[in-house]
Amino acid sequence: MKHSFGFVFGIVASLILGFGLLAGVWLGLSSAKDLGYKPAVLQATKTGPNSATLDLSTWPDSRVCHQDDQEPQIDWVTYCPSTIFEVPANSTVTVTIKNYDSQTPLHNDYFDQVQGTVGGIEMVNGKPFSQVDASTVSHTFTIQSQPGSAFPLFVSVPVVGVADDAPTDPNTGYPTTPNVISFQFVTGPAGVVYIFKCYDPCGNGLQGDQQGFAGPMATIGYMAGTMTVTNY
Amino acid sequence: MSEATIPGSAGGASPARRESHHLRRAVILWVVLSIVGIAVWLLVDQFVLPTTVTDTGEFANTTLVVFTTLAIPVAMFVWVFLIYSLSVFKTRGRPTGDGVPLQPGTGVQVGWLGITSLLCLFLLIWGMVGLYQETNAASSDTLIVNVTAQQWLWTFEYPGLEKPGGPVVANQGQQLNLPVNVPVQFVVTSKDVLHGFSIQALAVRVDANPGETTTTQVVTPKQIGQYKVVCVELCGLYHTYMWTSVNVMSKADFNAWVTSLGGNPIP
Amino acid sequence: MSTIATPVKRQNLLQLLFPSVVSGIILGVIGAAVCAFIVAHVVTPPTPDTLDYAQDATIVAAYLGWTIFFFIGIGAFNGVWKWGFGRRDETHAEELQLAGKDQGLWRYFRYTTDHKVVGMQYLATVLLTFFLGSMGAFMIRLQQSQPGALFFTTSTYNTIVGMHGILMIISTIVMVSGPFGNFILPIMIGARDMAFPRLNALSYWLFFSLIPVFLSALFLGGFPTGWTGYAPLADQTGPGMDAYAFTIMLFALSTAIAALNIVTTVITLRTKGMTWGRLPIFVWGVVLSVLLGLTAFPAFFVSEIMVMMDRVFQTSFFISSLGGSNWVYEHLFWFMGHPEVYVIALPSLAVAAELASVFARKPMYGYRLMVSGLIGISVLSFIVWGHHLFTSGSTTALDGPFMLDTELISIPTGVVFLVIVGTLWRGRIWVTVPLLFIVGLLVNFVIGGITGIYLADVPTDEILHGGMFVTAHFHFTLVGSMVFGFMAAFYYWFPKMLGKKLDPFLGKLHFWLFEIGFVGTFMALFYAGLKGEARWQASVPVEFATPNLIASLFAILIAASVFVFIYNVVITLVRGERAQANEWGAKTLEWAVPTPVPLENFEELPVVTSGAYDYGEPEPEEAAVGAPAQAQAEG
Repeated sequence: MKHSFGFVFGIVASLILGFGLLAGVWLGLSSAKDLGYKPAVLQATKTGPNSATLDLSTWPDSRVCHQDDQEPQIDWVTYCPSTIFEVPANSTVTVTIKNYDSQTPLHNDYFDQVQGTVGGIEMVNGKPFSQVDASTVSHTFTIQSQPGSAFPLFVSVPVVGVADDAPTDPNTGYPTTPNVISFQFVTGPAGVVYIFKCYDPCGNGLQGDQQGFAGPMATIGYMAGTMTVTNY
Repeated sequence: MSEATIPGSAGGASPARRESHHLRRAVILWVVLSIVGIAVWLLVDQFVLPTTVTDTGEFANTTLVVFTTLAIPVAMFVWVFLIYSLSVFKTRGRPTGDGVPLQPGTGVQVGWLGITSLLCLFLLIWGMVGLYQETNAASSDTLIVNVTAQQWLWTFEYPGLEKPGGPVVANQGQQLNLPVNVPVQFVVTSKDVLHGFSIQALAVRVDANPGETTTTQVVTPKQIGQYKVVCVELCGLYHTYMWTSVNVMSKADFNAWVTSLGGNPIP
Repeated sequence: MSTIATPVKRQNLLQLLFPSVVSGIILGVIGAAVCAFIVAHVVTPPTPDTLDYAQDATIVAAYLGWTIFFFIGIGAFNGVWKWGFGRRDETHAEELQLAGKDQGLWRYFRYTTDHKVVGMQYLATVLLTFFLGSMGAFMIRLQQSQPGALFFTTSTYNTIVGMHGILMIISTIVMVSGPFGNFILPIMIGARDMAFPRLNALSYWLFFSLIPVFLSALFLGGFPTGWTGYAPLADQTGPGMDAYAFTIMLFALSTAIAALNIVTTVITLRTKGMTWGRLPIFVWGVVLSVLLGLTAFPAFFVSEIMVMMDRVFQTSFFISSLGGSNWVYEHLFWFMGHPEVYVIALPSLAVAAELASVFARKPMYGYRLMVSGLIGISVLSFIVWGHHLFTSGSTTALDGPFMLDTELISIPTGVVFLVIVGTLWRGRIWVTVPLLFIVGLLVNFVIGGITGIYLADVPTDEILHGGMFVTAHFHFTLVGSMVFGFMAAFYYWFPKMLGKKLDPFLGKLHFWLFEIGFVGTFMALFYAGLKGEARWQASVPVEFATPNLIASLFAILIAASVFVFIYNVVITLVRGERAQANEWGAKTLEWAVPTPVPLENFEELPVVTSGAYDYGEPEPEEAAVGAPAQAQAEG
């Protein structure tokens, strides 16, 4: 085959087309909703130059903040409104969680203690606790660092569940009075991304002692997410 | 069958003489490159080997050095004869004749199999020695650490260090404190799926299996510093974030930490 | 059997479309939808109680429906049906019809039994799956070029890693045995077709049918287990796992059927004079490879059935809190997983030996030695799987024996090296593109093999298992060696299969881009592994950023090599020069038949009087009339 200009042009064109295809594959895969659901960002509300509040709630299903979900996700427990948080740098963040979900005993009692909060305590319906009964926990709010993080942070708070015999609203099926959990932690410099996870096996999957770690527990937007510290 | 197109061959020399001439050149090249290769390796290995602070890790590193030193002549043998053939015996375009019909004599076969078997035997003995060395039982002064893996965090407790209400639990997330120069053994389990418990610098690695406990070897960290637990078995969404900082500290500092939690310090 | 030649009409469009892949797909999709509907609404309607398995049951039903109705639609059952109800066997003309006579290019889209058609179908499909798998590879390198999960979420990345792995494993297992084992091997042994032509078509279409099943994982949330599909994560995770499990089941069926076919063909259909001692080494390699696969893949098949049962029927094979064990999965998987890499390796190594002899124009340096080496590797490969489990906690007492026999494999492997290098030594070496790839195979396999020794040694495995060192090791063996062997076979047999010669300049460019890119990428990853980087990192830790960036930059060269290769194939098919019937001057039987190869391969079956590698020796006398000896005049 003669190695004419057309031939060389063909090689160059193949390379350009090929790398273009790679870019297309990247865009297609990264935007595929089914593969990596990316919910909207919830930014903590600043209440001062060094303080902010983050208001969350937890629910026994996804009808409140994931209304577009199909089966089976519509029946998944979830944090609302999002699990992708943004908090200001060098601030005290006050987190309030209204828990409408029932109790799922912890499989690892490590998570019944409060860690990394201001004063080492959480407020459960107005009363301070540094540790709770592992069988009454519903979820945890746990922030952990990425390997080699510039500012390691570890915050873990057990979110106490609503008792099974608590009164429920006949219209919605949810408890009339949620448990209100609140605590504070201090952030470091901007530019660090942390991982958010619930460590109570409140999800689906497997059976026996291994039940509850899948489904919402392994999906960003429900019981897993991230926390980014930025300047704002 | 014309030999004249083989470059480098003297016009009238006999095929046998040419064979030994090529063989000699290739062998010399092989010896020289092997020596150079081993020298380079021994100079460079410190930059490439993993950081380790235990005897177990050092034995593993020594194994890597020794095995590579042995491997270099083996690799050079193949590469030298291969590249030599391709450079010296290649034809311009389609060949007009056939190559020399060589077959391996008994000497070559026995020699080759013999040498490779000896190499293999050496590897085996070395490996068995290393394996024997590491299967040592925990002594009474070994610090036992119970490791629980869960998607996606490692949690630890020290069953030998009692405090009122149970064993001492590592109370800071993603921090594992260990005293220097004290033998330690990890007893590992999982709550959900398979995880891989691994501290590279201490040279321990064992899977965390749900419903089972597995134990690592006993290792003694010999240097104060910060190392890492990472998960080496793909365990789902945040496998890549599943880590813990290992803080090897002086025994005094470690005991201070234990007593601050109400536990019994180690002697 | 009727001896009356029944004339068969040329078929019109409707007869061509039904049955064909078109009717297969249409019926398969309808079947999938109907089965899914029935299961979703009648058998296991989704309620909060059935959350864990209702969706899985529906999806598996869909796949079963797809498979059964696809094969009805493509006409796979027609032969069985006719045989059951028929009163006579097929006439020769009808068999030729099934083999695609007079159907032109459309025969590649039907359930055609001609082994050459099946070989081409495998070739096209393997190139497609390779291409898709390599897209995954480049996405992996993109993600790992920077610390942090910047380009994909961790969930997407885990799926990409798993899909890359399985696509590549599937591709490499069939890459040589499928296209060339089907097209070339029967001609090489002097047969007209395989022993079971209809099963041949079945094995290919099973391979085809798994592709939509597998790609559906992308729409089901992917799967987070990587290619190994370890339970209990596999039991726990979302519906994409069902796509994985079902793909494996189809694949295992496909390869088992192909294996039976190849083995029977070589045992029973060798032509007169083609003794086992004269069999081309390529045939030995393929036969041993498929025998390994036949014995090993059922373990994978069974493990995936058990995963599906855990998921759909709530059994607990792998759930230890209810009496199961994840170690069962690991052992089943690796019992397959180790022989499987030799299923991949043996055909490529055999191709290397084959081509070394042709391009050095020299007899193989120890044909019997080579065969013994291949057999030694095959036998040993069954008893080494425990080396994948050294750190699992399950085989502690067996660590020593598994270390022993894993290191023993270095001996037959060394024999293979001796033979191939010895064949090239003192040859008249024609440096063609296929030979370049063989040289690359040998260079890379040295590194791959030696690093395998490090992993086989238990003390070093303690610091290397589950890290990037392992990844670099198996890429050096599977890609740097075995895929290079496939490329050599592709460039070598392309003139015979497609009648054209691939452009040598582009071929050399392809080789050098691939080799340089490949070595750079994976040597950097060896370093990262030594320094402690674990596998499957969606977010590369900061301390490993540099080697990963280097690896990703070198991977750009690999990507370029893929596109150059595609350009070469396209431009050659469109306006390449015609190839000679014996393009390379080789002596195996496929080069003695014309190009394109006639439908029944030989006018008269040849009689073989010598081996295929007797270069440099006096020509044997002409054998019986009309039957040229296996030695053929040099081109």
